[in-house]
Amino acid sequence: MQSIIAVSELSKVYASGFQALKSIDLDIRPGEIFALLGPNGAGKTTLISIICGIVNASTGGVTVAGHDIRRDYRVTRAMIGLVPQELTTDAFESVWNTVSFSRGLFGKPANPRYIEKVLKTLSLWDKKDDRIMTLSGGMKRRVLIAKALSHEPRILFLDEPTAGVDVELRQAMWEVVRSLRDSGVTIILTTHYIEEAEDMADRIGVINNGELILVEDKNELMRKLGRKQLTLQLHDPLDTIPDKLSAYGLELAAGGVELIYTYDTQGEPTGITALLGELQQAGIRFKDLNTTQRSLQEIFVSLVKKPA
Amino acid sequence: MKIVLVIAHKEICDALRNRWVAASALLLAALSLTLALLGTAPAGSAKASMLAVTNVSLASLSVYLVPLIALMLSFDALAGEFERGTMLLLLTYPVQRWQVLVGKFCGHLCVLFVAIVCGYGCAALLAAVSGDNGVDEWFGFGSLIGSSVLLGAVFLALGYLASMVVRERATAAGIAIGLWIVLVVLYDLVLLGVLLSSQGSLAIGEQAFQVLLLANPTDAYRLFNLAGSHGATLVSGLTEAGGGAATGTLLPLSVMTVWVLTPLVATSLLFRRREL
Ligand SMILES: Nc1ncnc2c1ncn2[C@@H]1O[C@H](COP(=O)(O)OP(=O)(O)OP(=O)(O)O)[C@@H](O)[C@H]1O
Ligand SMILES: [Mg+2]
Repeated sequence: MQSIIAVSELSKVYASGFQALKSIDLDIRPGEIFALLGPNGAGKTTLISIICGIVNASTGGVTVAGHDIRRDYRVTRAMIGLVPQELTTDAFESVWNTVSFSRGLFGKPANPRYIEKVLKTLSLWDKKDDRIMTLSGGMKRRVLIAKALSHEPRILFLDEPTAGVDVELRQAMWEVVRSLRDSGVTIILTTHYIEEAEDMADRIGVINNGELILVEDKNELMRKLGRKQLTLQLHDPLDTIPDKLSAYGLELAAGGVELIYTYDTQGEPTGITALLGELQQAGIRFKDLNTTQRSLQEIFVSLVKKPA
Repeated sequence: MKIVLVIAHKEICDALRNRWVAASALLLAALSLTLALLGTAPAGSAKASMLAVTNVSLASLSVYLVPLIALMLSFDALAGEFERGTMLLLLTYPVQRWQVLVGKFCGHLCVLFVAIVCGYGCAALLAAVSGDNGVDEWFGFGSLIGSSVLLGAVFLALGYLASMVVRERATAAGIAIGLWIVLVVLYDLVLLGVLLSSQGSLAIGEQAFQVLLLANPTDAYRLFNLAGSHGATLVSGLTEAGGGAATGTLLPLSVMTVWVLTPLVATSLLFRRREL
């Protein structure tokens, strides 16, 4: 499948000398919801800003639907709608005017019916003549979404769309995002809420310290989460795993005193009984054992934990 | 082109909504009417028509007010949008940075034009009903409006430059005020000082003095309107001395045009190089 956004070897060094992105390679598939996870300062906004053309990349390049974002900036930007992380709107403008203004800047002819539809889906219709300064934070966020949708984009970037939005509204917002995806719009969102990514995304990318450390299908990730780990605390440390046990895919940890067996909870049988039997035969004794299930949260935390 | 129009349109709507147009038109109207009424009292005995007198007094009013209004419109135009973050979103649209600048410039120029026409139009109407004014006077009035808008354009462009070179709008406001004081007030005072201290024999030479006078956009504006109103009361002693020799109208106009284009181009270049 041809990707709709292709990021290759993208790096960014800010004028301050700070390297915010380190050789990012990423392909976004058409029509998917891609969630970008990462701690504060990881480089999520920087990556989005480069694709949207407000930050210049230091090296590397980006193409959108085959068009270079620098050379064909008109074409690529016309395809993209951005909902920025910061709430940046005109204070005195009315909701209707600010959304129409955005559409105009994309060179599209006025289309009051389309704007009406957008405002209605975002529950902003009864606020259409209100000044933006009189709206609440969540409403302002929705105004920014309406602006981003004003020109019927094919790609929508949502930079932390649910920050400061209440639970009910968040649900409604995801409803909108899903229906957009169903209409063929590709969506890239950043979030700090892992459940949100779990809920919404087709694929998940994790970025930390400017490096993209994981990109995976959500279902694949969840399948991994469906696995449990059995950890055996050994009496005497092992140097190597005996050949006889190789079929179990065991790992040694904590300097050889921990033996880890990963198994699928859906699998029947789990293989635990057989493993324990073989361990006894091999003369490996253990003091204690416990099982754990890794959550996305844990994977995330272990991935982004700074090396000590 | 369409993008420029969309941005210009928004600036005009903004200025209408926050009553900038109304306020500046009212201010200009009030002052110009006052001047027109005051001006006619002593001039009643003279031959000059009321419109001719009004033209001259309006020209001296414009020198102070138009730059002020223009700077107040423009100092915030870029710095304010950067500070609020709206510029960032704007630049993710398929627009080029110069289009943003030119769009704002066109919009603000329209605002100035409307304010000046409405404001000075009142005085012209008063003059029209109260006496016979020839074609010459009306032509003079027309060129007064035109040159005032041009003068406004100069200070719009300077305001954008101030708005571009600094990050904060408060600083941009400071620079704008400084520009006004230097170009509108101090520059003339210094030249006048030179003129007075030389007592007839200019130390720097007539030529140099002329060049210095022309170099300042506000003085160029004065010279232009002087040349345009033959025989009317001279605007100031300074221009009388400097403009003794006929400078014509073309030269002052070109000087002002250069003063519009140079800051605009400089702003555009700075804008293009700016890392957001
Ligand atoms: N204009 C800039 N100049 C210098 N450094 C910057 C600039 N903008 C961002 N940075 C730095 O780049 C890094 C990445 O910032 P970025 O905004 O991309 O993070 P983020 O992943 O979006 O974080 P958050 O979750 O807090 O939004 C940060 O360390 C930040 O300090
Ligand atoms: Mg961010």
